[in-house]
Amino acid sequence: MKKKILAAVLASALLLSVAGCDQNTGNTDNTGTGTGTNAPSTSGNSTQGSDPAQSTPAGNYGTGELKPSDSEGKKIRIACWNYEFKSFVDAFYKLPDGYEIEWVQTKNDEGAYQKKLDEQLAANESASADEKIDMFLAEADYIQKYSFSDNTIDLSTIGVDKADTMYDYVVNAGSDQSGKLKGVSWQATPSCVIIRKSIAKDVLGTDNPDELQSKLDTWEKFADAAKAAKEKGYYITPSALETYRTFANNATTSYLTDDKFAPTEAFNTWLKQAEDFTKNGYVLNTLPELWDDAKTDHMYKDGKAMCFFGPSWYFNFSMGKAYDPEKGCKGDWVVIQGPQAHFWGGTWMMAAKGTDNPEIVADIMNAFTKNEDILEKLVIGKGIIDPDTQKEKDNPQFVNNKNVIKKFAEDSSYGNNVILDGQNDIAVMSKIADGIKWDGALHTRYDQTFNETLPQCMNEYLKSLAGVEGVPGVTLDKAWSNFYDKLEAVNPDITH
Amino acid sequence: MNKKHKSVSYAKWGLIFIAPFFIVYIVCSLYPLISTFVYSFMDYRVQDGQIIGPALAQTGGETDVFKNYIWLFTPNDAGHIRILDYLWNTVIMWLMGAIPQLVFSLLLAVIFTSARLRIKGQRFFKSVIYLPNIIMAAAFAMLFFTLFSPNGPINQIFYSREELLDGKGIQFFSNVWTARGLVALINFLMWFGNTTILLMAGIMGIDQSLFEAASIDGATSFQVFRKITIPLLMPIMVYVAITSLIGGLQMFDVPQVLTNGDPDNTTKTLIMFLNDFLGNNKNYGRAGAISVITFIITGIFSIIVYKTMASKPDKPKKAKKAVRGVS
Repeated sequence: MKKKILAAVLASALLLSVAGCDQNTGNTDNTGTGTGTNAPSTSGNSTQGSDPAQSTPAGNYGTGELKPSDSEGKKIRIACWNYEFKSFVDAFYKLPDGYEIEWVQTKNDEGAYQKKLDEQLAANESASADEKIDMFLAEADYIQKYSFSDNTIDLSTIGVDKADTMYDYVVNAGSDQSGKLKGVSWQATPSCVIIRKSIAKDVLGTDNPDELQSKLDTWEKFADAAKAAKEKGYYITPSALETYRTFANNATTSYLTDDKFAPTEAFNTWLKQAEDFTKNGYVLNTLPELWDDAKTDHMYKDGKAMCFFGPSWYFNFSMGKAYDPEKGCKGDWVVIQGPQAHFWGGTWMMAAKGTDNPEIVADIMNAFTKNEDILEKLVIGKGIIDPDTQKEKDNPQFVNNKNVIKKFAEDSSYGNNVILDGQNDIAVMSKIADGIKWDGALHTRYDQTFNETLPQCMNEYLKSLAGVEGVPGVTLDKAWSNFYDKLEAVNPDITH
Repeated sequence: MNKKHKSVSYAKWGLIFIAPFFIVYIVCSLYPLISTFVYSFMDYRVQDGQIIGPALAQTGGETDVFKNYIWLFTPNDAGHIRILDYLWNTVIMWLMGAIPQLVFSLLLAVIFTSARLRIKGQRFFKSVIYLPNIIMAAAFAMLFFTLFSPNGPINQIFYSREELLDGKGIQFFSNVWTARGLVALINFLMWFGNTTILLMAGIMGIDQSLFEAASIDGATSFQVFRKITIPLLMPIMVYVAITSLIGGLQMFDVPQVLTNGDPDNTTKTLIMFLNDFLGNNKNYGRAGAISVITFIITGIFSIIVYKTMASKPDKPKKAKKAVRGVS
């Protein structure tokens, strides 16, 4: 009897683990409602480019009024690395009846998302209707890899066009060499300087955003403020890495010319600042990296850092410690433009070549870039179910639509209360967004390496510059050598 | 006749039963092994989604089959031959974990098997010692990362008590030897249980009458340990040392999760180096060359360990005779 029970237990354990594997290995999560809705088997890409979704009048995108043609597959598969966009679609987008979306999630650890996506895109045209990726999401640091790729569709062929309401840099980032639109985004990500009011009051004598802006609108003034902060026992930013993207975004030359790497002038300016700040003790001598607790702990009430750099998604979503109910300091924050306009991150929607749902994909894209009802709801950010906790959580977005942004920027009753004290952050960010530049020629498919790996390698040099005990002495030359080693692993053809 | 028939049938079934292993081995192990070797002489990579190769390695239009190997031993900008640096890191971290592990495990094994001490609850202790091995290495590394991070609980203790390190704390992952030490510590904690159990099995395999005879002759515990246990345990020790060496040279998951090679690549191991070439952009040629060199290094080291340790088993025979001679 015992043996039988044991056998039954083992057998069920085996079954369970097999079932578990089934879900895990593919890393796919079928969140669609209906099952068994087999799409008519469309042979090859017969539907691609045919009859763009012109039938929907502008403004009615995403309301479920779309009447897709028969060639559309019933299942729309969207590749993503997290469910943030899904939460927006669930909250505000209405699919035509009889269709469902399957979210194909691959967590973005160690570049796993791109790896999987590349494989899927390569096989997309020959895949069966229910196996095709129809649409996928891509981040700013590697968008060019996909916008310049043949595996993505020129969006104008499926009925998604550039609009004057979109921010130029967002359009440029999603365009290929010849200016064809390959990706659109519902958001723009102008990055602000996020300032602790109480510290600013102590250091600069004011916590008024306009006055703070006038005291921090150039890098010279920023350095002066850093000195003043140090004298009062504060840090201007937690680490020297904080300002890297601001400089990198405003570079006037590219890191790569004909596969030859050279540091840009903007990089050298940053490095100079980083060296000064580190030597003078304006930043923490442990030089934490962007997501280290050692940095983010300074967002708590007892933190000593005055400035953080980040866009809307950063201060609303990633600065949880700043508005922690117990240890945080909600409302003790203010956002300003800072010394230079820049952006950080951003997610673009792109259509995969071989999709059998060009009409619905276009409808989703148009809904999240042109339907101002939906976009206004996104700015307010209410009624969104947080994918991690399954509870409602505010997630206000800075949308990629100048009309909507203008409306909120001019609305004196609007204010951000997630972290700020009712300040109109949209008004501040809209000024930044107008000043952001994206020149395709300056960006490369290796932006991620230049934006993440390069400053990380330099950070080792800065750490030894800070002279913390036991840290190996990494000279600047050694830091460069370490970076070149990493760059070589990314592409051995790049010289320096 | 009947017997003969049976034996033939057994042989056939024997082959059928071992066939699955060999099929799986050839498909999943031998074939990749050979292809790795072959690719190491080729240009074969995936660059930004484009597959380049496989074709015999070329330099400037000329066939140059050793290109990947030459690259491997060419110093980088800082004048380092990287594979040697990473080999050194790997060996030093392995030794830092393996030597204390062997000593500690031997001690535990002797204590647990001692007929004099007769420790109670042996099974319980054995299970507890073995438990860390069940935990996934990556999970173990995550745990240690959290514990020893700059603002983690260990440093919170330092910060809160001025008398300890002036309240400054230790940047465990910015300091070469603490970072290496933590990697070694995790490997030690994970594997000493396994080694203890192997050594206990080895000791229990030694004829008990030898221990009895020695104690009748008035040998002290230490003498028994030195003259009987150690010599007769040598074959098992060699096995433990070589498996530990092979595992050590393949060290990857713990340092990858714990330090990612920081600081300044001083905890970067051979396999982490290999892993650099298997990211988004893959370079099978270079990765193959690193693998082949790692294989050769492992072979050489194993021979060294075997030769130095296995030359001793001559002695136990003498020891045996000596003991017998007296009794």
